[in-house]
Amino acid sequence: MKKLIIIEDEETLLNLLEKKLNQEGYEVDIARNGEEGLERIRSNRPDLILLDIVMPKMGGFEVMEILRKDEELKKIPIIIISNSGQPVELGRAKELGVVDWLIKTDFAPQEVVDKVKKQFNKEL
Amino acid sequence: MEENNTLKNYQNDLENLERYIEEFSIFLPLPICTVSPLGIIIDVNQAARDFTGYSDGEVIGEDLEFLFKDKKLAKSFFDQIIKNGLIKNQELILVDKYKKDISVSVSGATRKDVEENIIGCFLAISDITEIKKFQENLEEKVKERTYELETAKKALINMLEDAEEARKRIEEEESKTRATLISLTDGLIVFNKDRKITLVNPEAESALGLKENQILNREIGNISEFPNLTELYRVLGKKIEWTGQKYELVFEKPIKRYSQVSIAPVVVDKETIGLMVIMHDITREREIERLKTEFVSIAAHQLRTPLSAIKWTIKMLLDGDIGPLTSEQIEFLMKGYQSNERMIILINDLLNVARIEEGRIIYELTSCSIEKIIQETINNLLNITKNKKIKLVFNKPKKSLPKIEIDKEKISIVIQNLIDNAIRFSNPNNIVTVSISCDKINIEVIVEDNGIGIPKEQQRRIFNKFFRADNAIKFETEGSGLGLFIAKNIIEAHKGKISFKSKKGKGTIFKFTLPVK
Repeated sequence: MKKLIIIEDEETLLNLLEKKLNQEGYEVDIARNGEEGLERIRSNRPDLILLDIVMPKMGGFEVMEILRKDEELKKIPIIIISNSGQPVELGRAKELGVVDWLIKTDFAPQEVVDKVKKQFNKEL
Repeated sequence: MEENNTLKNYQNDLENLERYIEEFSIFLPLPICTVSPLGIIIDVNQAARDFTGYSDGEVIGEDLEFLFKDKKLAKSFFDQIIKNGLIKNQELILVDKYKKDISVSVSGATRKDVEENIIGCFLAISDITEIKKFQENLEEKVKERTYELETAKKALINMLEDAEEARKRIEEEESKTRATLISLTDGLIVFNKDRKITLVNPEAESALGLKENQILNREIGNISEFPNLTELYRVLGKKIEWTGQKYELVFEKPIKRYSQVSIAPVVVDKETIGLMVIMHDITREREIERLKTEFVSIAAHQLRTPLSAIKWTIKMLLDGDIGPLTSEQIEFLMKGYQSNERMIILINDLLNVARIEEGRIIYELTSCSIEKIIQETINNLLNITKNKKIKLVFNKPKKSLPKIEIDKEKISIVIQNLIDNAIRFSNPNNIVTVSISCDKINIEVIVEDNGIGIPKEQQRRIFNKFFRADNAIKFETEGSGLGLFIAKNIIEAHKGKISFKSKKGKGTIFKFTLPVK
């Protein structure tokens, strides 16, 4: 079973996405900020990270910078789920190994699931 | 006998002398009075008798003061003679027998005997009435003349004062004008007809980093020592001419400042006497604009988070992920979902506007097929056209079109906005037609409707931010008034052109082109 982690501070979105992905048959781990997220990633080694950008304590970019320094962890693909999406950020995210970028208002949960599926299919 | 003869001779001599004196004194035209040491008149000559009108009997034996008006002065004059021996030309008023005042000048000398004892004095009186009169006359004349001169002087002074006042008034006017120019918050440089600098106000001095006297009476083209002035001249196209244009000027030093520059004629009495360059500082406006854009950008991002939470919640409920719903529940949730979607569109519009104003609307250019983008947009709108009973026709090109370099997401927004408007402002059973064509230079997209049209008087404003036509507001209350503003900016950022033709009640045709290469 594929393991995912959702790092997202907005409780509603976090719960919805967790439920949706659970229903799809994934093992879903959650974290409410970057710091907690890093901890969970280190102990749980997910196959995919869904990462928000603006969060308390530690933001998404900081998480990516840290992961990038770790030879093992930097291999885990990352999908950004954010409401930001400034061109500058997109460019920087690509450099940090982000495979996809979702603007939350523009996508429905099902589409997020589709992106996740697509990502795992790529790996197969 | 001898002695007798001698005595007789003496006596004769004496008598002769007396007669001589007598005759002499009668003959003498100068009135003479002989006065005793006590101040009593003891003799007067013929001239004195004639002059005063008094006979010997009337005057001899009287006090000296008897003859004069000012008794005190006459007495003191007499005392002075006795004391000093001689006093000349004392002016006195003599009163004659007929009570007539006569101005006289009196000189007095003491008489002494052989042993130098004072035995009285002589007074010689001369009539100075004529002289006095002449003098008075003269004085009168001098007075008159002085008065005349003074009047003339006064008149002259008045004239001078008037002239001075006029000069002051002019100076005041000048200084008023200058004060006005100086206190202007816009920078100002005034040029005369020969294009020489005649005024630089303090605001211009500080903006240009110079002092007025350093460039006064010089031609701007010949001044090279002030970089900001050189920059101003460069921005104006190296000429000082009244073009009615506005120029944008940026000074880097000492701090970054933005100015809007215009040139206006200086007109006095309907005659152009020069030109002035006006520099309006817009640094603050620029800063406010930037902050506003930043604010909108941040606010929009913040709003997106709860909106996406609502969107996802409703969507999952609708998808049945949480459990089955009744058709009524689905209907209500659908309405909530649509309202939320409109809110998201509005926020996205605001974000796009903010990006346009930040000058970074286009992010990523990729090679795309316009046809495909249009087809996708139309597919997304099928639900709406069905609900509104509007026929949406896509006239596909006969030959295949080249792919072009565009920001796909942004061009989708343009197409979406144009078709969405066409549908929105059409009546049921109307037709919206989208066509696409291409030549060697451009790809052209046309969106045509036969809806409500745009009123002629409002047509020139339709690309303005937040503009909504009157009939549009009545027809459909929703809409941010940002769609066409965004569309125009996106197309122009792609070096394309957007235009329209419209007639109220007949319909509207929007057309945009994008360069092939």
